[in-house]
Amino acid sequence: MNPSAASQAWHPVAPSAEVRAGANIVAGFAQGQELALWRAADGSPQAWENRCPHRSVRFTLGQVTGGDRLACAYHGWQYEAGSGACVRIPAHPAMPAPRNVCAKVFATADAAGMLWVRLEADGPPAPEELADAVPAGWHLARTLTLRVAASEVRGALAQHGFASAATPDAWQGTLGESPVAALLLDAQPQLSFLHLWTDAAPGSDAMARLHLAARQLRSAIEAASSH
Amino acid sequence: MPFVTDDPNMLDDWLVVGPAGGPPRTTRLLGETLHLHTDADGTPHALLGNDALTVQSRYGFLWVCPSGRPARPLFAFPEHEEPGRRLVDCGGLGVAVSGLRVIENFLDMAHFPFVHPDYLGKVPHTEVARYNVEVDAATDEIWATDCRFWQPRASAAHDTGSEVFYKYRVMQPFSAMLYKSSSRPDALDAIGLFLQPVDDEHVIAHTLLACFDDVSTDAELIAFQHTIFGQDKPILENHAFKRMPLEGRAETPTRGDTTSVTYRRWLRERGMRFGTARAAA
Repeated sequence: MNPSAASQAWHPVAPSAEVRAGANIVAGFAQGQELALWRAADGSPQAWENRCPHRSVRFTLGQVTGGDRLACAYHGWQYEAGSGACVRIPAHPAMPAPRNVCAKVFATADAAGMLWVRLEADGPPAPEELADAVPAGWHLARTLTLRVAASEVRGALAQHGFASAATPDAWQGTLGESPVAALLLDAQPQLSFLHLWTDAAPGSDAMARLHLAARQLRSAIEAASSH
Repeated sequence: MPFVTDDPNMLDDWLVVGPAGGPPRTTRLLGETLHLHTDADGTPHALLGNDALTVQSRYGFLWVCPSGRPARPLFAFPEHEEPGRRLVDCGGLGVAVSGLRVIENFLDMAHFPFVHPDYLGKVPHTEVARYNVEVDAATDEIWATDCRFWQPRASAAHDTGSEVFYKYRVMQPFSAMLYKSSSRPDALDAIGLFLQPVDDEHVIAHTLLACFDDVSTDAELIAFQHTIFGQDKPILENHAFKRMPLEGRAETPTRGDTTSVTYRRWLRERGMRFGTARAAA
């Protein structure tokens, strides 16, 4: 991929249900970029650089306040959903917030039960293929954390009989006899996440076998990488 | 020079390495391990390998000049000898961040209601009123004066809210004092923050009280400081970059950040490199 294509890629940063409307802030990663993931009260997803423009303290220490604002933990500066613009500086309650203070925001999309982020605010809408990354009605089994580069995970998935589907890092295969959709996230140079979705029912024996197979897959990938 | 930096702002200054006296011990300074011991007559020694470093005992602490060529004497601390003050060493606490960020946090009032709620501040009392900042031409120290802030519980001796008066003083890039309203109407408590630079992104923060308090035990005074510091530490260790940017627009100050703006300019003018982040290209 050329650089502009890379920045246009959509990254599956977290299961959509983990980020609740007007509630929590989740730490995310994509290609080394640290993210603060949260939702406004209306459910609209937000993915911001995880850094307050005032003193660079991580936004993930802050809180969602008033439904559609994120407040930094250090000095309580408030930033509004959507634009990321600073709208309140508590140290100077009567002063309008300066226009040039703005969180860095990235594009987001909810699709196939996942929250996707593009590391650029501007660009075309998310492709419809994202919705096909996971068949309808499937369940999230778990997210595997792998301390290896995403490229090594891709190679291992291919070796284990997985095939890449419509979107580049959505893979289909079998783990513990259950069909699996594996969404790969290139988090950091040596950190990858694999979101595993399946049609096996939660609590079933098939799900238990899938979990065992997932742990074995991780061990195999990390062991291969350390040699 | 074996140390992790060649910044004369560190090598040619007096750097705290822990409390005076006590049994022989090792400690860390600028990426190296020092051996410290004190003779029976109180003479301190600091060794790096077989080399004796320039060291002095002052204000209850040991101070090392890594180059052996101190650019100036150690700062004055007249309150240390003042009758009636209690001197309480609150110990050294490690913080995984540039010391410059720790000093800036120490000089900052705007975070009180958010980081120290119900102690040093409380929403909605968030406003930082105008105050004065200047650099003393004779000593090259930064002074912030006429600072005031509404505090629910300003010290171990306070149990009700009050408007508290502050003065801040920066003596060295890694040491600062604050003076604040005490239990006596005519005097200010003094709190010294002396940072031992372990490396660019780690310090040991030594806090010394020189205060008026006829009520609290030492343990209560230390516990209060540890509570406050324990609230600052997770914030300090979660700067997205641990070193402080002195150039560029990576971080945006506001009106009440005058002390911080002055501190960063003062560091820039002396060519500070240790603990700083290079501006993004």
